[in-house]
Amino acid sequence: MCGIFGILSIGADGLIAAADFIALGERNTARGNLGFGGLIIRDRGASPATPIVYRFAEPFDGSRIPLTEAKVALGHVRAPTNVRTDDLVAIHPFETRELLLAHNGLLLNHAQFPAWQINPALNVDSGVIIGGIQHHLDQGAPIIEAIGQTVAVLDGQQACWLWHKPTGALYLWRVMSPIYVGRTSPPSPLSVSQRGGVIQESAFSVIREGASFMVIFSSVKDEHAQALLDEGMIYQLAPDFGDFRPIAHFPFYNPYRVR
Amino acid sequence: MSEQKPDCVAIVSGGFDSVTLLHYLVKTEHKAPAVISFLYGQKHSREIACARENVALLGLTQHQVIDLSGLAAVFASSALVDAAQAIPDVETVMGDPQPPTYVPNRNLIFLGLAAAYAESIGVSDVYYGAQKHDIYSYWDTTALFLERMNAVYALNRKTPIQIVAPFVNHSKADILRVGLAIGVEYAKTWSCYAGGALACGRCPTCAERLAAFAALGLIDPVPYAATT
Repeated sequence: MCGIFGILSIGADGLIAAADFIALGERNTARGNLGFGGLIIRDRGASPATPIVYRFAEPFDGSRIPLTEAKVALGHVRAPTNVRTDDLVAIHPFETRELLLAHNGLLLNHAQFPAWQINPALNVDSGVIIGGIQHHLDQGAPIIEAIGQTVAVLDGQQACWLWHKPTGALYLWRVMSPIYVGRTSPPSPLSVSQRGGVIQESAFSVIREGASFMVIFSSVKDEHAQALLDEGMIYQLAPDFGDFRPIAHFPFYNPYRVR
Repeated sequence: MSEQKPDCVAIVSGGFDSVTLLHYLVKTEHKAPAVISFLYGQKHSREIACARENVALLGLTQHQVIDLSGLAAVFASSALVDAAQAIPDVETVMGDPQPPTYVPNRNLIFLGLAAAYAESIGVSDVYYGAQKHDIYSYWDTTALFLERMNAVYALNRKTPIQIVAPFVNHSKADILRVGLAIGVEYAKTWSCYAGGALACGRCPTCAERLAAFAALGLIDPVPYAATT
């Protein structure tokens, strides 16, 4: 189990301040600090944008992340549940032909899906999430359905970010594990959709009026990231980075939540 | 109930899981457990009164309450022990591999003492109440942990101890079903970590307990200060 975090530049041409992202990563090391990784996007507007992936099998060191001119910066710090290997293959993001995924949480039933496991030798639960989504993509499912069909059958904690390479879209979702989110400029909490499966128009529709700001998400609550994304909801950062909103929901089980 | 020679040891904190386990051992498995409980400086030490009450209810006569509260400094990094640390809400600990509610090496220490007690009274089985979702936060509740502890105790030359966790694949709701079927009185259990007169309704164990009752369409009889 681990921590995930990121900063997304929404709207105009704002660049992510390296110090902000490094500080965010350092706060997340409270949830694990045995390796770190992530991806950086610089070429917003390209079709699709090109992810620059970084992985290090060592404690978090923000100076090693290629943050120059970043418009999307995503991170993951690692606290492995079973696997103690220092091999880079165990460091998130995990990767398939079309996907990059980072996961915080612990699955209880991943062994039931061996065909989805992208690395049987490593046998990490996160490998089943990305493998399952890729499996459904290979079967012809659209990306949203591929995510939903995979995560809905997995029992356990999930807080994930997923980069879809063909479209350059980013997806976030969670079950139990938190993803706190907020924005800067103005520094108000993100207005998230209501519980109960109702998909609402995101507060980020203000982008259409020309506003620009940074969206921050994190496994650790802080002064900017204070609102929890809804459980069982898939959120999308559109490929043009102009919109971040909930787009689909999926069934989930949370033994700590009164339903 | 007449005094019976113990045939196993059960670790009972006085909480939801371990009290259900105790009733299950007596009423379903027809065991005669010697019970062991621990004071370790926990804020919610009132759980021990619940352990005592259930031991008495079941007519058990062997109950060791081991006072480790002098060792509270050993466990002081835990929010369950350290007065300066607030008990976290459930939302903030989810996905945390070792949240503030983790008590350093507590389960291994308790199991070690329970194994010693078992050896002293000449029984082989030590029962404890680990359940399915404990592993989200605690490395010392996993099936792998249990397997390796048992591998160590199998080395004992005269009294190989076996640690048994019958509910390790049960959710809290599953345990509640078991308990209700055998007449466990959940008003006589205490789970909340916060140490108040009323359960907080917000800490991880309160949240899980409330959800278990709700899943069965029931109301938890324990009084709550707040529910979420």
